[in-house]
Amino acid sequence: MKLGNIFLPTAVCVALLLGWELFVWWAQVPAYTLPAPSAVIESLVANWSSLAGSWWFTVKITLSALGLACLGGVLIASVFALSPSTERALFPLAVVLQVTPIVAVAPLMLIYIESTMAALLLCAWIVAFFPILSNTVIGLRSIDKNLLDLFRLYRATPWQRLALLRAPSALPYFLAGVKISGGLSLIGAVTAEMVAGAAGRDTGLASRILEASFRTETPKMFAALLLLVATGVMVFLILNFLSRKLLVQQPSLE
Amino acid sequence: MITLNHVTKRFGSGLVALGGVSMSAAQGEFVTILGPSGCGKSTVLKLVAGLVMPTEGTVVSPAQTDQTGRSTAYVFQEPTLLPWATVFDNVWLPLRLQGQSRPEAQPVIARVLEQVGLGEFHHSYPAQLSGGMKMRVSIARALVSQPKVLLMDEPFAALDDITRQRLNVDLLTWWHGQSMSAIFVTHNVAEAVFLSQRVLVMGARPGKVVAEVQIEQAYPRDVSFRQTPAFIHHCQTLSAALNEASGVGMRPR
Repeated sequence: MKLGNIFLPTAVCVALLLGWELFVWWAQVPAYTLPAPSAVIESLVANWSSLAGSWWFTVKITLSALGLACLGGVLIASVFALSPSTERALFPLAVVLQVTPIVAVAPLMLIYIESTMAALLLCAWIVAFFPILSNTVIGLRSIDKNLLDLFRLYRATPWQRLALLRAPSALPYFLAGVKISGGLSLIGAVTAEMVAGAAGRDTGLASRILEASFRTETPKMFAALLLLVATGVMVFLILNFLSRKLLVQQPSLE
Repeated sequence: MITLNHVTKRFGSGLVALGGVSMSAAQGEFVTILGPSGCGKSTVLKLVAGLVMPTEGTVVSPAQTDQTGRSTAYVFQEPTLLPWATVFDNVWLPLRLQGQSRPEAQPVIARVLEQVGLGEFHHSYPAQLSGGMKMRVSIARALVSQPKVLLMDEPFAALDDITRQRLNVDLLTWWHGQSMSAIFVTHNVAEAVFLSQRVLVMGARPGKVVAEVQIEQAYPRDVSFRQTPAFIHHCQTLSAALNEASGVGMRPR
């Protein structure tokens, strides 16, 4: 079963790449139109020094945005769960932030915020925090009423209620939100960077893609894209692993 | 020890759950409240536990004055366990909330788990247990703080009949071992007769006590009690009272 889980998707990937490589070779497609996978790898190796720096910049934005989304999402969700009137007052604002396309907001952020890094971080955060917020609110709200009564009967303090009941009850919901936000923070970071269109040393993979597109360096565009995809997959796998580790205590909820 | 005096409970929706209920339970007494669905049986338990307040009338119970949370234990219809915690940690909960550390609580928890027949399941999670075993954990959690009052809200309603009868016998043993008052809610007549010293029959809309039957049989009681003429007679009397309280003939469950 486990072997099948790994073998099948790997086989499909290898077959697709092989088909791509053969098609480019057979149809004599020029590299600026569609580079073969081998040319992409070649470009990745040749441009490694500039791509690696940019990759690290994008990773930093993505992970910082995700970290801040976890922190902000949980804090705001806790306030919402404790005070329904605050939720009624502020939730529409959270929805407005969520439904406004980040591509449309990013230029404004770049005007108002002096530091490009901070603006990029804010854009990625806006995209990433909502799933964590809404999931955690649902988690904090969906506590068994009888368990709440039991904690009241045993005169539990608010802190005990939070640590021993609310937090563990909300954990699976929070982790599901984090898994969605992991991918979204990468998307937010790259989108904002595309809009910023910043050039220079301290920029991310989106800038390398834009740069390469101006110079018709299609293999380099693919090489940067490959790094982005690999980053997204890594983030997903790491979050999946953490989620399983944390939920191992909850066999019924795994 | 526990007294309800002309208690009325009206909820925000306008629903009158209880309309002038008066009842009492002495220290160490086993009282069962028998009644049709919706007659306010659970509301009586919540009033005794201090989880809801009466609209009119007075309630006197240890939970009203207890600041430590040790006086009263509650067993719900569902086991109501923490799914992420082991059997041991679930039973530890009341003591933990009162500030007892794991090593401090260990001997008491081990004894109670042994008593309810779960001595080998300390490290199991609720999802790994059967319905009857989960209910045993729930009862162990109630017993571990040695409460003065044990409140049970149809705890065996969801279990099969064999498990229910076995748990009835065991429950009497556990209750008899600790001199606590027990208020048990059910709509099962045989269960009410088997367990209690006194059965209160409640009628609905609004809920009130309409009949009271003393069960004289001494403890310990075992399954042979179910075959005696006295048992059958009490069952017939209570069934008739229950049918009258329900306002219908033989109501199918």
